[in-house]
Amino acid sequence: MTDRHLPSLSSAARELLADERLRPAEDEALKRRVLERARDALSSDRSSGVTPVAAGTGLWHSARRGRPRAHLLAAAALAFSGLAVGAVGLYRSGMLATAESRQTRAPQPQPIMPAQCSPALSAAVTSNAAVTIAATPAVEPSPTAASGRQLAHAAAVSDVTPSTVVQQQYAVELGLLEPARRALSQRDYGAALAAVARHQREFPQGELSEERDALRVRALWGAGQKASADRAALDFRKRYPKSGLLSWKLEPAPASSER
Amino acid sequence: MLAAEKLKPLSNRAGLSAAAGDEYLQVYQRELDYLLATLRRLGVPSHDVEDVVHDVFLVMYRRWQDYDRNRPLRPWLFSIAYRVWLTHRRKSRREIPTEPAETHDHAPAPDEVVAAGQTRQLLLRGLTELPLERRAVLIMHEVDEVPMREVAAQLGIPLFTAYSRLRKARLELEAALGRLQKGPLE
Repeated sequence: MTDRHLPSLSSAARELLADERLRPAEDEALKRRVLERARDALSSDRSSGVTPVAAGTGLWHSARRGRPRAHLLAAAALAFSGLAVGAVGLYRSGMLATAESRQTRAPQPQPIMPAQCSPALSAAVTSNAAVTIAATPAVEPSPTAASGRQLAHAAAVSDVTPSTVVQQQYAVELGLLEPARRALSQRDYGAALAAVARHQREFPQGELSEERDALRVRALWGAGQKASADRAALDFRKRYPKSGLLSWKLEPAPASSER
Repeated sequence: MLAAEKLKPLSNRAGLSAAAGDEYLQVYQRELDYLLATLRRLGVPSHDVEDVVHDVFLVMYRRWQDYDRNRPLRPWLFSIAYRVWLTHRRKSRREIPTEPAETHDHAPAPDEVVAAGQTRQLLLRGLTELPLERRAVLIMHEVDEVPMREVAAQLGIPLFTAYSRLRKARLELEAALGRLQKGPLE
């Protein structure tokens, strides 16, 4: 269907609509009030101490406020300790690969499906990362701060092996995506998209790109951006034709006509 | 849904840097006239405009990083304003399609509006007689001159549905304007 198939508007209606395009400016007093309110909201957000600062620095590297960050660091340390303990337990029970094979094999990305992620998080973090973290506490990664560049730098200036860096990167990536998964389960799609965007910035070609892109589609879909979700799903299928993720959305949403 | 997040506090949600926040505020300031005019066209009463536009600001802020810079800004803004107003109406239980934009008792009668040459008021009153979903399509396409494909994409509806809404909206607008002028326009 095109414009040619539609009833055309009368010239008077067209004239009214054309006048509307040249609308007069809005009330200045109202605009001042609205802008003042917006600035207040923005400044209170910035002074809250938990909003990330400059892009790339990340929440955990912010130097402006120590106290909230200390709490976050403590929480991260606890979380990663839990991961390490879980992974070591699994390792001892014989469920993991041998230490020799871990040295030579990079971890394979595991799909982060909502149903399976939390309970088996420590196992799915794929073991290697968690075990390595436990063995090398001096280079403990933080979920949102360590970027690929930082990890590469860590490898260059220390005696950690490249495989260790890969494993740490994997853990950091997982730490970045976990909030997205959690936000999705809580139907907080804005937060999920923000977490996905953060991972995209830090690890555009990361090990968990596939999971990230799948999470993005789900978040867009949940946020009501059906068209964007469809586009993202198409891109996803092109990029990962054999992926088992997004099986819930193999076909575009059915078109609903009003007629 | 967009509106589900609109009333939550700003903190720790957008993840905007200081520079991005400043850029966002500048864009908001630059487009404020457009946003206010859009809300009026969508039928937001004067006493609600300030609150609704602030809600639009909050949603825009959270979604600023998701905005695709390669696409035109105003259709994106419109889609946010439309959804915020839709949710606002639902929440306040004022889902009455024919509710006029201004409900003041002293609002001019239709013939007075025309006689005074207040063509904008005439159009706004005519628009309020359209259901909101069709009104949105008509405003985007006929006033903002957004291509129909973009209209459909921004409103999250199939292209055919967008055309269907536009067709009905044109007929309804003509009828409404005719009634308001107490006779055909031509």
